[in-house]
Amino acid sequence: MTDPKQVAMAFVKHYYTMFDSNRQQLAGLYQDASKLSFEGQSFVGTKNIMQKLLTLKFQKSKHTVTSLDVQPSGCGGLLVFVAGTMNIDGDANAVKFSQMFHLMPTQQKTFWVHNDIFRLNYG
Amino acid sequence: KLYIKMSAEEVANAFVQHYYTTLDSNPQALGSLYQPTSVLTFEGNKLEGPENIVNKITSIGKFAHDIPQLSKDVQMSVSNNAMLIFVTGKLKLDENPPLLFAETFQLVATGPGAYYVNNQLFRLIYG
Repeated sequence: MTDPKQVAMAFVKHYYTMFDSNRQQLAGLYQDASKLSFEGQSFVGTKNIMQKLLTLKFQKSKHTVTSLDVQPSGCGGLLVFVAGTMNIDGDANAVKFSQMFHLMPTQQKTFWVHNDIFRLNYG
Repeated sequence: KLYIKMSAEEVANAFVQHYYTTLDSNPQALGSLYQPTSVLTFEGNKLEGPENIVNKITSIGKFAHDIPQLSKDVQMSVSNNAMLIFVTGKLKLDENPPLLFAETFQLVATGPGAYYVNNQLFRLIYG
């Protein structure tokens, strides 16, 4: 694998760009075995995950990444740990979030999201 | 012989309780949670193996975590013997005002009920 940090940075940039501009496109990053925990709610599989992501209570989002840490997960994947802020529906006040992705490689040398855990961080 | 299997949630809850209680009261004792291949990324710094990891953790200062208020999310990882635990909450470091943090663990089972931390990533949440 090329430098895990480069791989993770490219993936995260791609993920949040899609999330913020065309959320439906995220479907291509999940598979039947994918798991999402979103603010404590659990979803399994592309269909259920996308249903959640497409019915979130905000229309527009803009993610800004503050920190990104990567480790090989030991089973061929990458653990990617992100902290950052989101501007929601153009609100001036950004909310803090943290998110963990466990990425697994496809045969086409791209990555899909095996595990996805998202939490807002309240003060 | 009765063998009681804990669910992933039960394992995670027990681990989180044990980890942060030990970190706050007796961090030197954390070494037994790690193996030579364990990796901790602490605020972007990477440490490998029990000795390096515990040296790092014990060098930061005295921690006090608000354990009851921690959020804990658990998911099975790729194989059935590994789970991912995602924790967020508040901590105090020495006498400083409380800080938000987020932390990721991947626990790997070596036998029934016996886990070690294979991966750990920690970040303070500022701003």
